[in-house]
Amino acid sequence: MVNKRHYSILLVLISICFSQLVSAQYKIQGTLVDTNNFMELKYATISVMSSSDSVLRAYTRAEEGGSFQLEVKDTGRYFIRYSHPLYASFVEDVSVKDVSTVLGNISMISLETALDEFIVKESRSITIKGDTIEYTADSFKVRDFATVDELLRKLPGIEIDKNGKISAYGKNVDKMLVDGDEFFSDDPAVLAKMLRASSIDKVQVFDNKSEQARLSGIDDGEVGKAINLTLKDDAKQGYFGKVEAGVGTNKYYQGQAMINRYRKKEKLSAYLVGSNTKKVGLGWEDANNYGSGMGSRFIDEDGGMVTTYESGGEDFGGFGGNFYGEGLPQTINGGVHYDNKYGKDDKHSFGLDYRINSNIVNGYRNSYSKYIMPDTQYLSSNKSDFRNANLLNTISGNTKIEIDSLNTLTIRLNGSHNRSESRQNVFSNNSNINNELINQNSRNTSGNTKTNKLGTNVVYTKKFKLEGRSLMANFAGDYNESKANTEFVSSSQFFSTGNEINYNQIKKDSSQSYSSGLDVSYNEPLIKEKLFLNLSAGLNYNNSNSSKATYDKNPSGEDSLNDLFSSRTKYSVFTNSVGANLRYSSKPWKLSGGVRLNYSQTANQDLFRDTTYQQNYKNIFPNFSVSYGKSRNSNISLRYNGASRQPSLNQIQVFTQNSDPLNIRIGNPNLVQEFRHSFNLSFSDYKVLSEQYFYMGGGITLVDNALSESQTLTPDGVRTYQTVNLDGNWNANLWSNYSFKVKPLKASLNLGLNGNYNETNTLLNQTLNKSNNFSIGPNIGLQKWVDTGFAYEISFNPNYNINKNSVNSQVKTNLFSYGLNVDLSYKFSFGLEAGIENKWQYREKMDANDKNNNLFISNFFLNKSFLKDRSLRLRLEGNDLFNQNIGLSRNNYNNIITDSEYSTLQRYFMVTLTWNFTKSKALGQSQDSNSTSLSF
Amino acid sequence: MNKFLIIFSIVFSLSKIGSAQFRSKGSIEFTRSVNQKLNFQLEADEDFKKNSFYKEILKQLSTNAESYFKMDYNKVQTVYFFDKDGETKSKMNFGGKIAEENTVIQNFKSNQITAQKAVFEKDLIIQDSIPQYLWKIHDEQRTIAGYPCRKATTIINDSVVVVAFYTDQIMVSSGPESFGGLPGMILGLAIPRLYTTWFATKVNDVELPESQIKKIKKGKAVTYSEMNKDLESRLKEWGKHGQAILWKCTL
Repeated sequence: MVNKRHYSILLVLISICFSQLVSAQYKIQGTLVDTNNFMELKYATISVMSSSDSVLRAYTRAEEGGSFQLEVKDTGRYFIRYSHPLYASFVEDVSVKDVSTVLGNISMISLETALDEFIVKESRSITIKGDTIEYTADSFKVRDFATVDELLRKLPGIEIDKNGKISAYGKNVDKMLVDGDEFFSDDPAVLAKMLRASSIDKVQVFDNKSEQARLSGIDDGEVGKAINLTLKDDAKQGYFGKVEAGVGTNKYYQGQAMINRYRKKEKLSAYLVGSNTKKVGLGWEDANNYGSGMGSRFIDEDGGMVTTYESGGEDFGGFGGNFYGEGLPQTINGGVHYDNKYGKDDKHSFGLDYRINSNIVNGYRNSYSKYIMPDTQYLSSNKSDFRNANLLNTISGNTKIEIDSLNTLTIRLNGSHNRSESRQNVFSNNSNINNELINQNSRNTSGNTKTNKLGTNVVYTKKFKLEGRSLMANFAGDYNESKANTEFVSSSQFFSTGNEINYNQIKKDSSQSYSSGLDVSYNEPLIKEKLFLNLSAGLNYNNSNSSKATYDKNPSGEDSLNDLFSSRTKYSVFTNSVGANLRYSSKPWKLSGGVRLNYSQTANQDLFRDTTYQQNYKNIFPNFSVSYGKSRNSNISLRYNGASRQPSLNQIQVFTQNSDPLNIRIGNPNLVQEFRHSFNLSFSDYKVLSEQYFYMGGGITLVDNALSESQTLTPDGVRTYQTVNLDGNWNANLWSNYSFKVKPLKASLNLGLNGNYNETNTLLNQTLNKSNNFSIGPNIGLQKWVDTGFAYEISFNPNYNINKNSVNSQVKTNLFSYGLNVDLSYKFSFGLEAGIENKWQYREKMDANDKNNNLFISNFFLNKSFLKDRSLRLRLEGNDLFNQNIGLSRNNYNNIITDSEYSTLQRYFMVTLTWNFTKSKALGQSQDSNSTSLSF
Repeated sequence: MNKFLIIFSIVFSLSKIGSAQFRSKGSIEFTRSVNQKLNFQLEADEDFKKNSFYKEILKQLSTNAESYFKMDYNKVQTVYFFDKDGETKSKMNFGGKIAEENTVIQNFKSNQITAQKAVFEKDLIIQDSIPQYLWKIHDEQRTIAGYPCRKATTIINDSVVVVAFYTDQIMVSSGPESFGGLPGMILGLAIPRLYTTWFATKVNDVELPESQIKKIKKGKAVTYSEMNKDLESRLKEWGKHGQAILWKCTL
């Protein structure tokens, strides 16, 4: 009995203790009273904060009658804030020791009573309000390389606590600006520690809404304290650049030097590249840093990133500054670029560019073609060696003038001068299917060409107050002239007839053309953000004069003009057009459609024969597109547009081109324009988080009056080509790609399928030939990128090509080919990277005699970075380790299959040393110069 | 008698004003503003900063992108939801929006938060207890939308500072996104590290009609920790950008 009672008491005790432990709550209670007026203090806020760190621990509202009760979890020192909109809020220190703390009656003083006190407080803050306190940074001594936070510490009235929090005159600084760019200071991690104190001109402390709004352009309707740091002009200066030199076996070399220097708003850059390897120009990155920024990137209305890349016109060198042409190049490329801003607030800008480009290419090219003709087939062999040299000078300038926030004028001017010399020796022959020689030709061509170009482009854009309304006018004017002199010696033998034709000629070609055009476009929003109308009108005039004079050399006397191979033509096209387009956009739909009416007059004047061919076209160019995308990540769209294409001057000029006496081209003055209808359907879906991308698209193009080809073969094996208008050409294509992450491999897998179908009508010996060409191939790729460790990229691209010709349907040329690339690399954490790139190429034999079906090229490289910032890099590379490289190409189209091989870079080894250097003043921590120019 | 009347009328009118100072239901309009330029710099990895892309994009970004949010509030719950884009739309959506058009319901009866956030292609629904923040109360005050507000700060995700301005004249402890827990309504919020601010522009006495309040779609709900676990595994390799995405999602 006793035991049991004891037990139960114990139980009660334990449970009391336990409940204390679990909800260790300490009650605080009291009553708010207004001793002067007998007013209701209901809903007054009572907040309890820890004294040590001001962290809110509990809060409540006063009950009716002013009583309140709240609980904190710990004993200790607190302060309580009592606040009510009509009363002076005040703070009371409370020490919580017991389970219950009773504060009793707490008197609150109404604002009316406390008015005097408040006026005093207000007046104190008014002394700061509206004033900007400005410090001149240099008058406060700081260590060299000190950052801004150290400077701020020195300024009287400004304090920085141990957490980096900045306060000015006892008030927290809400915002920090650099040259007026907004920044929040509550997070001290960034700006104050990033900028160098020595780059600061002035520190401005202000508490002025309008000033802040003026500086930052943001008016949040609030007043906040802010610090603005203005930078010294010379702080915005620095430079970065790169020097690279490489030497290799077999006299291979490559070198690059480039520098980009910026100072205030001005930028000067220069580059020089010289090599006899593939590396002939600036890479993509370098072109943007050191060139004039040949490409541009902008963000479209959907938030996507659009990149455009302008290859530098006639600039030598292809995609990414590499040479992909035939032959062995030897180049020197250089350029200087300067841009600056001027005018009030640096609203206007201008840029100047000069580029020089010299290149020499030597090489050979051998090609073998099979011609399928109505009754038989022919084989053609062509062996040539060539040397081309080019010297191009380009100068360009542009200026952008922002007249005001609504009006902008952009003017571009450019001019170039190009001189080129070329020499070519060709030996070619044609044989029949039994390999019996029909004819043969050997010829030498050597000549030079001079080309001058001038162009201007003026764009005026006007925006209106109404969002979406805009006007744009674009004037473009171009002038081109070209002069060429060519010596042409040729001898042809025709074995069926025993004939022989020899030429010893001088060809003097010259042409001038000018064009000018004015296009005006106006946008009007019909329904805000939904429906837009675009109206446009254009006027274009294009005039070309072309003279092609061929003189037969006369060893004994004066050269005589050969009428057959000569012509003088004046060709002009005058076009005027008006158009209207409607664009509707409302999620998930986007529709647009419109029509452009076009009237063009072309006049083709044969000055030799005094005949004029005139054609007038009235065109209707319709277009529409529908796009449906329920989410940003998935989209389906259908597009149609109609467009015409005019024949080129070369195609209509009445004369015979005998530059290859076995393949003669004659002009056709009766050509009319072709008209293309294009339909495109595309679907895309991407999942960012799971890294899945899917694209699929297809298109059909139908061509009316296609500018197609007529081929006539004479019994002695001479082919004559002429462009003719033919109906019924069309093509279709399909492309698709699906890529996703293979989690266990941490690699992404790419699967794609591409297909192409062409139906082309040509005339073969006046017989209509319909060729069907179908090619299809999947592509499979697996790639993995890592910062350090093993990375790879594997791709496999088989392709099957089916070609049929209606004139000779027995001959089928179905050919299979594939490419396989395996690139492997390993990156070590200490700056060493090693890799090997392997490439296999296989193609099915065209016939039993065909060689060169397989190709295996293997390259390796070893990169080692030095110095702390890895700015120095040594690279050892081996190109084509097994010396197997041959330039190869195959073309299986219409009635011709051509296999070519040409000279290309073979095995060499090279050591390259690259040094990247950079210097900038404003940044303290990072040496990265790019980020300097951002903060401003 | 006259004296008494005057005193009475003063007291009466004052008490009337007094009660009108407090609100426990109504609606608020918020403007969310992101400094895109700085945001872009923050998220860029060092390698990307060397890229010329980077500079050009930066040039084209307008400084601030705004979007508008609304909140309906009463003693039981607050519903905070995306209303529309501002005139300078966000142009930072490479690949999709990251928790930029959220709907967040904080229910005080059940202590539950329900949030719907689109993160790229993922439509996340979060259901959890209302997060608890440790607020530090400051002396600084400013007026937002006509209401005197006091400053409070807290730290989320170990290091990200959040600055809030709350008014005790609105007797509902809530705020934009998942923020709350202060003795009143948060009318101003700034997350410096994300270069984002929320400011109330208008406070109305009346609640929004039921039809105007955005609902949360039905779907599989996850807790904050489940969401973090899932996102962390995906964003691990994304560097600084991934880190910022995570922060944005947990707001």
